[in-house]
Amino acid sequence: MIWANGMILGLGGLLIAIPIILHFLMQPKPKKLVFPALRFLKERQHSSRSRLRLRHWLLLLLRCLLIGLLVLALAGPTVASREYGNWLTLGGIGFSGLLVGIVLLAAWFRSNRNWVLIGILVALFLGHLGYGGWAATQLLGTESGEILGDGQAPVAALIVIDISPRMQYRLENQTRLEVAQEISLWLISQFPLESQVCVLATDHDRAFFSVDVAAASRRVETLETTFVENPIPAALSDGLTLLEKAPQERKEIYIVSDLTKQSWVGDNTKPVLRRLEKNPEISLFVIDVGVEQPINFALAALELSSAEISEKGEFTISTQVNRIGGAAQRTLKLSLEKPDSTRPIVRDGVTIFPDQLLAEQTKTVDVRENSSVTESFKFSQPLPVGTYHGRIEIEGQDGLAVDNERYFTVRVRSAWKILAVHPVNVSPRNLISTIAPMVNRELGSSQYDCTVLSQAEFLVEEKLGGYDAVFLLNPEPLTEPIWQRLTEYVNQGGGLGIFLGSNAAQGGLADPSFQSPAAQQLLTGRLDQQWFTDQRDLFLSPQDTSHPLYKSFRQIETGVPWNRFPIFLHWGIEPDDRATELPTQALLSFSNREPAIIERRIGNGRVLVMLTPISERAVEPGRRIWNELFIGKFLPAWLLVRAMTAYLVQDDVESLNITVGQVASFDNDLRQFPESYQLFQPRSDKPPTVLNAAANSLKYRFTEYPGQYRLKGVWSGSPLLRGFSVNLPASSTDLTRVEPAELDGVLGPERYQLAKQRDEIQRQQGTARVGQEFYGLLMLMMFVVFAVEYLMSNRFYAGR
Amino acid sequence: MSVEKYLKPAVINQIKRLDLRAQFVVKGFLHGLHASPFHGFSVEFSEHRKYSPGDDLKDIDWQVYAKTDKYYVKKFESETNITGYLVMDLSQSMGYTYQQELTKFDYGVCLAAALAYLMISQQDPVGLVTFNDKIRESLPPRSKRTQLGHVLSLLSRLKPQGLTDFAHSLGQLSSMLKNRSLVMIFSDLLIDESSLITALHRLRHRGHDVILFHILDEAEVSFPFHGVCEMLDPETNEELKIDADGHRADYLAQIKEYRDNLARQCRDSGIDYVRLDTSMQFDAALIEYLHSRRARG
Repeated sequence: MIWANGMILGLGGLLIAIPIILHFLMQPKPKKLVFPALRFLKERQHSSRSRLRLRHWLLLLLRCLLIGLLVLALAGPTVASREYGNWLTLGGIGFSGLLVGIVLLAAWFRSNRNWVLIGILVALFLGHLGYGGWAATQLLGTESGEILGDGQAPVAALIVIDISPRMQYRLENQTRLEVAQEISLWLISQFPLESQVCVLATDHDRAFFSVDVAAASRRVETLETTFVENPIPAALSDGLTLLEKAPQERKEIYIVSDLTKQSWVGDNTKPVLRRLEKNPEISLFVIDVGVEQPINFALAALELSSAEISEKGEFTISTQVNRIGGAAQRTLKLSLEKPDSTRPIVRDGVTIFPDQLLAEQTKTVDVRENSSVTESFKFSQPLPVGTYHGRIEIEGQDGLAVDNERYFTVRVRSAWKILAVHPVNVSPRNLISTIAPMVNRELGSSQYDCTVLSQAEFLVEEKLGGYDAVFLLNPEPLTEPIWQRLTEYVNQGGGLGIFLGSNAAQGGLADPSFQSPAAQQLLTGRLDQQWFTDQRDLFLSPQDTSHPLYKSFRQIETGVPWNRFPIFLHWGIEPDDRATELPTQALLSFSNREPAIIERRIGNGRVLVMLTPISERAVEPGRRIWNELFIGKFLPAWLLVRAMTAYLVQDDVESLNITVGQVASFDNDLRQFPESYQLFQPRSDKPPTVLNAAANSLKYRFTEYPGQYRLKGVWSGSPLLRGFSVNLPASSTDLTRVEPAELDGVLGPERYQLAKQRDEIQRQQGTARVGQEFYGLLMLMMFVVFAVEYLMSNRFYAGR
Repeated sequence: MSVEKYLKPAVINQIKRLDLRAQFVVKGFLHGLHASPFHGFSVEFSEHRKYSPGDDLKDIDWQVYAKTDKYYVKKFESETNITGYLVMDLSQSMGYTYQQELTKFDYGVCLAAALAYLMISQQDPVGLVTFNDKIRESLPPRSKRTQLGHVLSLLSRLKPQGLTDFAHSLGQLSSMLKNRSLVMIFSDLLIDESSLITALHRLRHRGHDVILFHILDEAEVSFPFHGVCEMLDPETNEELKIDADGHRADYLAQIKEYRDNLARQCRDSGIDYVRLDTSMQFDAALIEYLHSRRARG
């Protein structure tokens, strides 16, 4: 509730004390009368005294009420919510009507009816009924556009402007953002003098009041769409904090948005709802600058068969062309940029990017009304080692242009070198066919170049440093120096995968060589005992799938039939106490909650220990098999082993294609790469920044714009180009409109006023700013209370 | 102006002499009777009777003969045998009026005087007894003209004061009365109902006829008060603060119940109960007397 003259409330409140003081200090003295028939009065004395007291209190109450109503009327109360105001009006009329009704009844049942009085009371009562009926119809939804009272008091205003990429939607040669800016500027010009205005964009901006109205206008004018958007509820939460502290009595929030669903979704909108409910005096307007039925083409996220290929490798890119609106035809174009060691380069403050193309492909797509078409491009031309940037775009004009273009980066590199070590009684076939299938090896497109050594050969192999990862398949006992050598290898940045199996046992127990200190350091603990079951009820059971190891499983997470691949035997590990010194974690468990895959980081490298083998030694009669992980058609273990390999070689291919706001992270082995780079953002007007490697890796957080980010460094005297692509998440250009119920869920039903046109805004603003006034109602109530008080006191003190 | 106006307490109040008051009341009353359906009744109970052979000619009323051409002779005391006692309540409460011309006591005195006048005129012996907590004064019944002077003289000297002990006083009176008499009690009867009835029964048992003139002030009957009032009982000095408007209905119901109950009890006991208030004309009381007189004459 807003008070036009709040000061009066305090002073006026004191006036209520007057009748109370008069009541207690200046009680009227009763008339003294001689009356001999007193005994007939005494019999009803008690009830009479109670009645007398009640009347006194009632009269006092009426007098206090009279002054209270007068003070309220003078204080000029208004409420921001029309509905709230109508409820208050209805309540006031109801109270007043009730008083009139009671007096009417009392007058009717009096022995000597005063017909004039009854007539007046009946007229008053009917008037109340009529007024009450009007207020009730107001509650049922009719809105009055009348601007009441003085709306020129300064306001504290928060203008939240949606600057999501969807606001680039163009209609009638105006983007939604331009419309929003226009309306916001107009709004600012409408604010009363000395108002405080905060313009808050949905780009993780901090809320603050502009110095003056002109500064607020300038802020609006310079707004651009952001690609790292903050949902409106989150922005509103920040703005509310500012507004709650503002000293102005009138507070207003304007949310200028295209009302697309994406702008309104948030993880936790309840606190905002609660705070809005807690501050009913804050008027809330939602200004819709969106388009009810947009027409648009959009490219969905690109799907690359692989972002990293060998020199003879090939890749396929597929994407979906989504259509909102009627059927249409468009040309889809893929272009692959030719690396240019001289570019990017800054000339006259403008970044000049490579402009030559290595390849270009086009396809014509016919998309039916409100449907999608999937298209793919295949690229099989041999490429030299390097980083290649490309893009796919929908040609032609469109409502929302920003989602017509997608970027990709492909890295061509030599295959990772893998060493697979196996005892003679164990076949490496499962591993090799999993990470380097025959078909790829024949084409020369395999990502992994596998070297297979028997354990005996491995013991004399000294050049471990040449391998990106080493796998020990069901190893037989190793000597302490070998364990130490492996530790040193990992420490230097190598990846070690150990699949423990039957060869680690001696007489049913762990072989002592697997319990040596050096072995324990790599195995993450003391090899303990074997766990056995023949019930086919033990299987791999992932708990937390957030680890990169599970990337390939995420899309099919709930459908992975882990329980169809039983485990019969596995090793148990008694963890050592070096977990804080050497980061150790269980990445996968068995269904009996015992760890199945444990990761340990040592120095720059990683160790993955799997406690059941993927390669068994030849089946002998009477020997138990350890698992059926590689028996069947769909093999989760196949995906798992590939993921383990990629993880061990520290493949950073994931960072080649990311979405805005994600952190790009690259391996930067100083033996192969420079320490410092120039980083060029996709926008030519942004100067390059310097990016330095730290701990053999590069990290870049400010991926705010979609496009290609290029790293330019110098290695061995010649330029070295790296880079990555950043795309918008498909959801950020989803033009689906928010449902009214969803909006109600965020802001509260009936809590906000929705407007599209200026006159609508002006009207609702006027109504809300001045709110619903109660002067007339309060005066009416005061009149009724006065009349009742007069009648009552007249009757009460008659004949005095 | 008709003489009947003298039946109104407001008018009679302007006459200061009690003998004249009594005379005017009775004259007004009788005039009213002549003009009313009770004409025959009045003649029958007038101070004359038709001449019959053997009557002394000096007793013929020549004034009546002049008016009617018929012979009427004045009645003789020996012809009646009604001994009346005017019993006047002297208690403090009788001195009350709220806004009438006469207090209950004045009204009662006026009425008693009128009755005395009437009775003396009819040569009925009449006596006067006053009481509050006990019998204060008594005037033995006589039918001589001079008796009227004595009665009126005593009445005019009386002043209401003190508490009432109705039962005790009536007990004393009962033992005082030797012959069967007509006892006319003038009181506001603001006393305990059971003791009152007991006392009346005792009187009635002794063979006396009783007329109970229950005189209340008009305010005690209509309760015309408003607002908050502090009521004082003049006899007990007890005080009570009330909301008069809120109390009116209850009070009126109470007083009506009291009077109705009293009337019923009196009727059952053969006592004539006359409810009066100080705004009423005196004829109601006098008619009641005449009814009683006729019943016994």
